[in-house]
Amino acid sequence: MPCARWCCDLRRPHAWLSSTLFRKNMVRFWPIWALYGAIWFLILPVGILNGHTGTFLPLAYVYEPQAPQTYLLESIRMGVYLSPVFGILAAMAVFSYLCNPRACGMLHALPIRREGLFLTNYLSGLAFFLLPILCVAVLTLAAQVYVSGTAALTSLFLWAWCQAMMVLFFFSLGVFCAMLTGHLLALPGFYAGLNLLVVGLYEVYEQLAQQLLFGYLSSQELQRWVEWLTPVLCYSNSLGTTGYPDCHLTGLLCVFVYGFVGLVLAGLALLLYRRRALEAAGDVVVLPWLRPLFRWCIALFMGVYLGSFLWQVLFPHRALVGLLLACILCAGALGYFVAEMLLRKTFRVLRRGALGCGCFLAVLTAAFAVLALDLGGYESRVPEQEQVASLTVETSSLAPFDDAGLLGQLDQPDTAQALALHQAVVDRRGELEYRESYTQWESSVVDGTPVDLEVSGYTYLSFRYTLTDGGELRRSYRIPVNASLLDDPDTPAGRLEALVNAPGQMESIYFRNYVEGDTLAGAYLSAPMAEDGLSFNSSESQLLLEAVRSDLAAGRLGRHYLMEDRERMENCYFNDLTFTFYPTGARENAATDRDTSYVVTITLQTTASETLGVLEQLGASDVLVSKGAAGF
Amino acid sequence: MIVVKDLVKTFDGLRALDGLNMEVPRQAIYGLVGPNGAGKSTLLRHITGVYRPDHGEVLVDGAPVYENPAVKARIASIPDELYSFLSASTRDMMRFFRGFYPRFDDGRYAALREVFSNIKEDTPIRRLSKGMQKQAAFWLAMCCRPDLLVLDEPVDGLDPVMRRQVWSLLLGDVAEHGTTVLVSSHNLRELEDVCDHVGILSRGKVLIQRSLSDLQGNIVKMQVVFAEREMPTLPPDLEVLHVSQVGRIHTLIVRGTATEVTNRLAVYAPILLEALPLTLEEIFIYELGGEHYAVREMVL
Repeated sequence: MPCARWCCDLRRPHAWLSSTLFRKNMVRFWPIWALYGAIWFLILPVGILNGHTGTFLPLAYVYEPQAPQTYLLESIRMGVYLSPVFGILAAMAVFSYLCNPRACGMLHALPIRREGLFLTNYLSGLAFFLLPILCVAVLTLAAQVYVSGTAALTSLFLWAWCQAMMVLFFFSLGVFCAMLTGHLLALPGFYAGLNLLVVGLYEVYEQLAQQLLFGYLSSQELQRWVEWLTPVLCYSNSLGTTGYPDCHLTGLLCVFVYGFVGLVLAGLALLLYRRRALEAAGDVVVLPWLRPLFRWCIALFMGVYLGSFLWQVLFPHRALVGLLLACILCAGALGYFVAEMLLRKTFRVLRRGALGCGCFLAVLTAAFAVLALDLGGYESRVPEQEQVASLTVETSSLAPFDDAGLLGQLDQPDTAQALALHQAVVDRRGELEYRESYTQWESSVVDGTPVDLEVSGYTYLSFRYTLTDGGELRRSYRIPVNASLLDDPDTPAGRLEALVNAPGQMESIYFRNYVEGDTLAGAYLSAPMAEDGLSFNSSESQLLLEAVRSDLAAGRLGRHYLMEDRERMENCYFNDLTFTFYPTGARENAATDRDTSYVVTITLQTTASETLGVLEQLGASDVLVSKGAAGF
Repeated sequence: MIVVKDLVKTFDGLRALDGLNMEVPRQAIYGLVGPNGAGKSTLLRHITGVYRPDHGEVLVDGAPVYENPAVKARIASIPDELYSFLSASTRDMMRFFRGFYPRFDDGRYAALREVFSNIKEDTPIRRLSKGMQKQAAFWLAMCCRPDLLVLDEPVDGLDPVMRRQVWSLLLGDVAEHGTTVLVSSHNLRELEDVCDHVGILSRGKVLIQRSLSDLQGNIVKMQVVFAEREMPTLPPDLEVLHVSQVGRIHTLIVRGTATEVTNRLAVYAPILLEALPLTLEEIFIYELGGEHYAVREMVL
C-alpha cells in the first residue's frame, strides 16, 4: 500500500516558548500567586484605606497619617520575608517535574527544546509575582488617589521595583537549586543551604577558632562580607527607611546587586538544565561533580556543630582539645555517612563510604591541627608600636558604674602601655587559656556596715587595632582578677588597672562628647538617702565642673576598679554628680546628633578633695553617702 | 525511518546501552523484545528524545531526535509509566497536547470518543483504572497524528476486547497513513500477530533484527524418529540450537530453512521427519539461549 502522509496543519512546533505550558502553570499553581497577591493586597490597598479610616492596619506601627507614602516605603521590608518563602514555592512548583521520572519523561518527549521548557517555566514562575505586583500597584494607586487625592508614584515605583528585584533573586536561586537536585524535598534544603552557606561556613570557622585560638575575635571586615554574601541577612540589615519625617529608602544597592545576581543564577540554571541527566530524577544530587562537595559540606557542618555540642555536653570542663577533636571527628564521620545514605538511597553505606570518610577525617584533622597548633602565629601576634595607627581597648564594665565605668572603653590609651598589656596577656597564654575563673564574694564590714566584697573575679579585655597598612587586628581575652594579681604590676590584671587609671584617661572618657564651647546647663547631685537630690545653678555648676576637671586631671577622681573590693567600697560615694550640657552644633557622634542636650555622670570619690570642698561650700556635703553607709 | 547508530548510555557505571545499532523501516510495525534489563525502555526514551546519548545518535528520517522539536512533533509515545498532571482530565490533557503537537486532530479526538466510550472525559485521569488510563493514553497519542508511534508495553492492562480494538486502530493508521510503530512488549504471542519486523535486545545490544518472516524462515523445529532409538551423530556444520527427546521422537531446533534442514536429515533415513514453524516466543528463547539466557531446569 502506498504510504499516505498526514495532510494536516504542518506548523512548526514552539521550540523556545510554549504558551500552552505557560497557561498550564498559571492554572495549576494558582494558589501561589493568589496567596502572594492577597497578602500584598491586604498590606497595601486595604492597609492604606484602613489607615485613612483609622481602623485595622497590617503595618499600623509605621503608618504616618501626614505622609501615607512612608507606609509604602516601610512596607517594602515585608518583601524580605515574603520573597524567600514564595520564591522557593514557585521554583518547587514549576520545576517539580524534574523530580518525577514519569513527569520528566512526558514533558521532555514534547516537541519543545529544553531551553523552551526552561524559559517557559521560568517566565511563568516570575509571572506568579510580577502580575500580582502589577495588580497590587494599580489598586494601591487607586487607594491613594481615593484617600488623599494624590499619588506617591515614586514610592509606589520603588515598592514595585524592590519587590520585583527580590523575587527575581529568590526565585532564580530556587530555580538554580532545582537544577542541582532531583528530589523535591531536598530542594528547599539546598535553597536554605545556599542562602546561608557563607554565614554557615563563617560560623563553622568561628566555632572552631573560638575553641582553639586563644584571644580569637572575629573580624568586622569579614563580618561585613559575610553579611553581603548572605542574601537574607543583607536584605534584612540594609533594606529599610530613615524613618519619619525624612523617610528615604535605604539598601537600594543591595536590591540592585542581588537582582543582577538573580539574572546570573537564572543563566547558570539554564546552562545546567541543558546538560541535565534526566535519569537522575529522584536523586538528591543530580550533578556527579557536586556529590563529593555535598558529602563534605554535610560532614563538615555536622562535625563542627554536633561535635562541639557533644563536647560541651559530655565534657563540661572542656580542658582537653583532643576530646574536642574526637567529638568533631565522630560527628563528622556520622555526617559523611548520612550524606552517603542520602546520595545512595540506602542505609548500607559503611563499606563503600569508608575510604571517602577516611579522607575527609584526615583533612579535618589537618585543619584542626593548623588551628590548634597556631601554625599561622595568630595567638602570639602583638603588633609593633610603629605598626599601630589607632587602638581601642575594651573591658567589662568597671566599678564604679558611672559614665566611664559602664562604657568600659578606652579610645585613646597609651599605645606602649596597651601593647605591654597585650604582650603580658599573650605571654601568659598557658595560664589563661582554659582557666576557669569565677566571681567569689566574702562578707565583710565597711564603715560599720556589713557588705559583700568581691575577692576574685574576671574581666573581659579586647584590643582593636587599626594598623598603618590599613589592616585590622582584633583580639579578646578573659583575664582573672584578684588582690594578688592586682598588686603585681606585671600581671595582665595589674597592667589593665594601671592602663584604665592612667592620668587623663578617665577625663577623656567622661567628656568624650564635650566640644569646646558647649554650654553647661546645670549640675545635679544625687542623694540616695533623701527624696530628691540637689540641683545647682549655672555659676555653682561651673564651680563644680572646674573642681571635677581639676580632680580628674590630678588623678583624685575617676579611679575605676576591676573588682568591687574593699578599696572601691571605701573610696566611692554612693552619690553621682551629673552635669548637663547643650551642644554647640551638629555632631558627628550619632548619640548627640539629634539630642538637644547630653549629660556626664561621675561617681564621687573620697579622694576628690577639690570637688568635695566645693560641695561643702555649697552646703551639699551632708547628702554624701559612702557605699558602706548605704549598706551595699 | 529510524536509524540508531552505535548508541551508548551509562547509568552510574552501568552500561544500559552498549553500542546499539538498529534500523526500523518506514511503515513497519517493529517489535522490540528482550529480557528484563536488556535496555528496551532506555532505547525508547532515546528514540523519543528524552535521554541524551552518551555516544552515538538516533536519527528519524535522517535528522537527530534529541533537542529537535521538528522531529519530535512527528513522534507520539506511550511510555510504560504514564503521567498526567494532578487532577487533569482526558480533556485537559487533550488541550495540553493540542498546544504542542501542530498536527493534533480535534476531529479524530471526537471520532475516537466512541471507541473509548467508557472513559469520562472530565474525570481526572489519575482516578481512572490502570487499563482506562492506558486507553486515554492511546486516545491522546493517536490524535497527535504521529508519523512514528513509540509504545512501551502498550496493551498491558487492557482487556482482550480493547486490545483488539487498539491494535485494529494502530494497524489502520499504518495501512492508511503510513505510520511507523515501534512497540516494546513481553507479550510475544501478541507481537507475532501484529509485527512485521522484530528486534531482539540483550545486554544493551540488538542481537537480531529482521522481518518476522525471515526470522521464522531461518530457524526450524524438526521432529524426527530414527530407526535406532539413539540419535545418530549429526554433521558439525548443522547448527543445532536445542535437542530434546520424548520416547523415540527427537525434537531439534536447527538454524536454517526447512528445506535445507530436511534434506540434511533425510540422509539418515528417519522413520519420521517433519518440519514445524517456530513461534516468536520459541525463537526468542532459543536465540537468547546462546546469550546464556536459556530457561533453566529448576529443582525445588
